[in-house]
Amino acid sequence: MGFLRKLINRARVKSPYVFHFNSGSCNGCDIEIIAALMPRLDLERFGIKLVGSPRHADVMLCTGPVTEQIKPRLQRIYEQMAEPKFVVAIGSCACSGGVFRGSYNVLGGVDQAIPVTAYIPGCPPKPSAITYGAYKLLEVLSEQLGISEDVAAEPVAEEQTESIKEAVEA
Amino acid sequence: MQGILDGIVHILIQSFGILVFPGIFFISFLALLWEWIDRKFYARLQNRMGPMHTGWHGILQPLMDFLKLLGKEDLTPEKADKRSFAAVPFVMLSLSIILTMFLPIVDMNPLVPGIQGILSFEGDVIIVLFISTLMAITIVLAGYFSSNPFGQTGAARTGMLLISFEIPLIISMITPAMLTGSLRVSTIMNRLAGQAGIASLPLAYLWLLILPFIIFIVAIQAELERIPFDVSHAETEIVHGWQVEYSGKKLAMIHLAEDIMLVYAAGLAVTMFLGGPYLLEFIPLEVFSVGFASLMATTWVGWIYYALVFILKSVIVVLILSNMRTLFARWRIDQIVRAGWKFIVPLALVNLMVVQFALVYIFPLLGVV
Ligand code: SF4
Repeated sequence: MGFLRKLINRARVKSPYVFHFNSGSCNGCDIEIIAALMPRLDLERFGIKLVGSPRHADVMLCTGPVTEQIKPRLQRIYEQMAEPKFVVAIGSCACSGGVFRGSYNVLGGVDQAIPVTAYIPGCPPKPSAITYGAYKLLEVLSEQLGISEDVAAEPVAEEQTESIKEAVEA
Repeated sequence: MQGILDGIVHILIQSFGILVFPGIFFISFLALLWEWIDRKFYARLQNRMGPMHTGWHGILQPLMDFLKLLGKEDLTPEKADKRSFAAVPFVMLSLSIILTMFLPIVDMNPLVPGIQGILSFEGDVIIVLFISTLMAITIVLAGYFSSNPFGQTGAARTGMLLISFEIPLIISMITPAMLTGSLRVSTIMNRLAGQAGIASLPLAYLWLLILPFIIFIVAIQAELERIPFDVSHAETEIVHGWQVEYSGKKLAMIHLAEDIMLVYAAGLAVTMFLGGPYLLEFIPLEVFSVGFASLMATTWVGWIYYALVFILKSVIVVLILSNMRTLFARWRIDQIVRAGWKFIVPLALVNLMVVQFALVYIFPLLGVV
């Protein structure tokens, strides 16, 4: 049984299905998410696949400061996802409210409504930053699930993170 | 005593066939492999890399997706018809596995000349077509039982797709049956390939298979609901259509059933139009004549050889299907129905008439029999 558990934990890290939710974003971050799935920084290399239904997804990508109107919908969609589930806040708005912080109709950040696992700042974040964030999330997950050595030992992935780090810093 | 022992050995070999080698395990293996090839080729045609970090070039990615879905929570909507909702994925998976059992991959019945599938009897083409229609009906049921408006829209669209493309699919499969005068999958294949002591057809007949092959590929793409015919689970408009409420184990089963349907579709194209698992036999050399076939049919080397040739030919069909998936965008439902009824169905009917005309008038006139 232990072997099977470990295998399924490994599979969880290796194949996250992502689902994209726009919680009041200006559409800048959404386009950058799509750009991260495009040929140059193809996120499918890590097994990440964009799905349409929250029932199928493991990771929800949230963009935008949560407006009062979208809050109940966001919470409902979060509850519709199957366990284990993770939320990634993409963009300054989703992290803290960004330029809309303090506005009368926004909550200021996805974490005011639902628990968030990872934050990717930037307005909008570069596709390379999104890729780096996704990779970091997978690393943290594999540490949590106790299978970190497998993921960290891959030389190709290391090189890529180096170049992505440089790209983010530049 | 000897008789009982022989019986036990026979049963063991048969159950090995059904469970492991050309049966369930092998088919599931092929299903996951085909999905990898499909995803990888799709990605490469879009100038992407596709899965890279799961095994060699991501070859374990479909397996990992499957395992992950097995480990996820299994949700059932409150309003759904619970028992039927849970039953549909099982029915889909078992129907798709039964369909692949009709494919002649290796010889499972040495008493009959030529390669036979695990299930093979007179008239099984009709059963195959019937079960593949049933598959489409289970998809419609999956949409309706989930009691979700998106699911029901997807189910209705699947119904539209079904009535448009089931007909050309069946008509295109009639052509090989007419040419060989048989309704048995293995006999059709063996006669078209002209192997195993069965009288072969004149080469002129094979020209008549080109048009039905094209129609078959288009219709099977619609049957598999892949782009350009993926209106029934269009992510951007009706969030995965009939699959929308499925999660966890049920979704894993649905995905596996879809992949097995891809194996079935590619295998059927290979069997009906591309000559089945024969390759070296077509080379006109002394070494590859009848003795070779009978040697291959009786030893385990033959099993590996036939399986490899089957894999090779199916991969070619899978690549054609993925190429179609990349080249086209999604069609609207009205465009699909119009294309089906205005072009594909008339083309299939004209093809049927041409084949019949050629068989009755032209070939006897030319002296080709
Ligand atoms: S972070 Fe910037 S780009 Fe993203 S939603 Fe907010 S304002 Fe738009």
